[in-house]
Amino acid sequence: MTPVVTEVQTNPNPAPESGSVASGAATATASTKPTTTISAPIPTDKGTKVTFGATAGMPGRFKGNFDFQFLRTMGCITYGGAALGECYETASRIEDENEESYSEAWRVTAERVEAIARKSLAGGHLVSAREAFLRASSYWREVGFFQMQTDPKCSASWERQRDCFMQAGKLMDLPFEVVNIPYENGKSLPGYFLKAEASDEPRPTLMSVGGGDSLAEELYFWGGGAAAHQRGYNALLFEIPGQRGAMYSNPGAELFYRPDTEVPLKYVCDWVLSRVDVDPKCLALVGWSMGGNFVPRAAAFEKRIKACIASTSTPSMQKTMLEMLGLPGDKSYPRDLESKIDPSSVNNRFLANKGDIRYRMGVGSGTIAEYIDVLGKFDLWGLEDKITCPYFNIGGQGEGQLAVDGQKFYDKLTCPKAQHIIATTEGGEAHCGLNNESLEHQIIFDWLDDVFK
Amino acid sequence: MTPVAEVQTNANPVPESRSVAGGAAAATASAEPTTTRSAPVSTDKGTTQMFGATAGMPKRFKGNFDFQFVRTMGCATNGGAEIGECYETASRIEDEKEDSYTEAWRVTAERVEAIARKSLAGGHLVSAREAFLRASSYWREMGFYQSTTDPKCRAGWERQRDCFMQAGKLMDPPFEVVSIPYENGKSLPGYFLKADAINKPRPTLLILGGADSLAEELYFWGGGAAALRRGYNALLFEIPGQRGAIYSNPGAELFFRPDTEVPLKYVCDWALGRADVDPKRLALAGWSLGGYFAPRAAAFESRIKACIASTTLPNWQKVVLGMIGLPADQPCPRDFESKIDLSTAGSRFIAQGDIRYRHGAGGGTIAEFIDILGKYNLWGLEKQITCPYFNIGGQGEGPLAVYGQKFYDELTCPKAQHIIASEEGGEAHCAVNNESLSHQIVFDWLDDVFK
Repeated sequence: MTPVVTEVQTNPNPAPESGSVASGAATATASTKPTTTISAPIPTDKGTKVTFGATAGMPGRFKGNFDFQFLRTMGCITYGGAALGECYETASRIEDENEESYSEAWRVTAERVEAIARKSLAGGHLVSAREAFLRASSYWREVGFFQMQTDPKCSASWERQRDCFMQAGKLMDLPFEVVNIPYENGKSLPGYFLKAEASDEPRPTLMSVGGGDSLAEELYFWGGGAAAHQRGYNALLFEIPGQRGAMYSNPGAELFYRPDTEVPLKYVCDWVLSRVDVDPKCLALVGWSMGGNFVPRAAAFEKRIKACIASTSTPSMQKTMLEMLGLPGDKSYPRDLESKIDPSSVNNRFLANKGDIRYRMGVGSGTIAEYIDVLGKFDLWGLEDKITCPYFNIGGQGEGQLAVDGQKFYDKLTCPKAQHIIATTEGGEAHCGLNNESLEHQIIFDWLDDVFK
Repeated sequence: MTPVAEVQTNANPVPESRSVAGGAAAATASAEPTTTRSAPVSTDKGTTQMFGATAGMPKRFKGNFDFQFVRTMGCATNGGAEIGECYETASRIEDEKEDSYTEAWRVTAERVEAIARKSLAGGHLVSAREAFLRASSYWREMGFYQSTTDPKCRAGWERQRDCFMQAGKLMDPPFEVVSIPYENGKSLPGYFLKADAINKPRPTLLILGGADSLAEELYFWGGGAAALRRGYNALLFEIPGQRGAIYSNPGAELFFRPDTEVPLKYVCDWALGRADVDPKRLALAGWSLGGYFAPRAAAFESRIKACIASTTLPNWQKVVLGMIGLPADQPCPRDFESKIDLSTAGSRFIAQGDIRYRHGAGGGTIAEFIDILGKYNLWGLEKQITCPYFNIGGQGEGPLAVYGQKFYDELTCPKAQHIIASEEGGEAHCAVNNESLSHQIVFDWLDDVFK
């Protein structure tokens, strides 16, 4: 490992230790000029450590990508989606870099916690039941996480995490609405609408979309669903073509990823704006992980989106994927990538060959090079001037080169904008702020509150 | 290092769950331990035997810091910590070094409190409340290991209290900061968390910590937040000897006392003076050394209608001897000073932290401190406890959980028990590595008792 000192731009620091910029739409352009530059060591190991770095705020429980995924699961504790002891105990049964061991370890925990939920439910202990269903949902999600689409565990775990989440959703004070958003050719996009309150008063609304490996359900935790709800916002957690739930909800339709995100977002905006409880002047869109590519793209064309948040802005999926696979991102890549990618790491297996992302990109049967070719279409460069709504870029020092690329795109934006790259010393530096959901959401919502003031 | 010790646990209705949820009526029958399993319990010498390095623990540190780390990070369940903030802080802590521990948390506490104040100033009240709650946890850790004479001890308490009160003001409904009248014009500090805004009588949980816990943190792992979500009122309070009680009565030297029924009489008087407290549904939960206080009080104070001990602690002297690595069943030597290995933060904390002072033995020898602990003994009270009783413990508590079960076995009141296995991921002392599970177990039982 060779830590390289990389320049990361961050924001003015009003209090000595805080790097937050909370600025309204009116003042955003002025105040968001990065006025300080900090030089911080960013791990730039080859492979996915570039994006999923082994920084100080990480557990260090596993050596490779499992550590990030462990943290991603455990971090859901902020909104009731995990318990520490359950995660550590599960980790004690996982062999590092072994996907089968990972899957089986979480299955045992998920079964146990779901049984608690069903027992509490049967006994009429509804709060206990809801809480255990939420945790079980997280744990079921992990059972299928690293699996290929042909592995029955992949769809089974999606179903069970969804079932547990829906059970929890029924037990919320205002039950979550399970929604099917009409999409082209009779297909539909799955999601959940979380009403801010029981009345039908128009409320600010956050639409939340995940990335290459996230599900609508988990967006309740780290995707801002619960945080929006606590702050009096409606939240729409939804999936777009290519995401697992969208595929499984449209059997046989082969609803693969598409780069023109404004198309599904047109349907989503149509649907959400037909609701009386959604305030059309206060409609925001947040995108996480590869959603950092989707949402700027959608905002560039879909003007009903009144604020856009990217965690983190991902201008070029092709470059990012190549770098995550330990290859040079800027050079032309060879056609025989099969021989260039080290399959000994779970990261590489997941991203390049054994996971289902490649299949969901529509290149399940092609070569890795063909997959990388397809990713070339997911590119934001050239859209900088087309984004006109207030824009927030949030990233973390643990994201390495990804955060650097996002800032380059952010710098070119001409709309009202603000940015916060979470430093490792803030303890929220992981990809998508997953090791500090509270901080990530505080930063985003404090900004959004001001934009919609 | 890890001999196999016998730990009794409960019947297992589904293969992976060990919960016994029995109502008051059914509790006596259902709480009979019907299965006995042998499970490896960590029995290392010193504090690690009760704060064990079991599967559900972080293993970020080798000694007692690991327990304290999970105790802090576990507050995330109820908004009192963030994972990344805890790990980042840990990266600046040198294991077994108290001053490094203190300084690392101070930096984090300052930073997170600054976020809270900035969000508050900007009118972002949810963000402010959340950051104040986390800052409160982090300030608490700053003073945790310090002795009475270290100014950081008191400052850590004050700042954690201030942040907690700021968060409490931003709750809906806001927390009531209370001073419960106590003997000779003194008072006991606490917080009353109303189940809802109206004044209908509600079931109420009185929550009490132990030798090193503060009223504020009982909101997180003590069940305060969990009670509120379930429609209970919660009273988080301290009794003589606890830090906040001492600091709230300057000069009074309000040391620990074994006759817990006396302070609890004042607490019950106060709680039952409220129109929103249902006297038929008044429960008391005690955590850590509170596992001694709560059964002791319940044996004499009949207004307590249900008693929960996590975990039942029949003999404090025996426990402390075990924690400092000395045989509990041999005659106590008088020259403890030469017998205790002070190379670990855990043993230094017990022998040199402020617990000894708060027992009224600050100026004496360790043997005199141990003598005083001998007064904290539940044996003989087994038949005097008549209200429904719940004993909760964890496999990670080692001999402590075994002692508690022995006392539980002798109880004649309606009772139930759950010793959380390591495989359940909530085996730590006071289940601080799984607040959700521990509160689910406790409240599912209590719901049935008060049905």
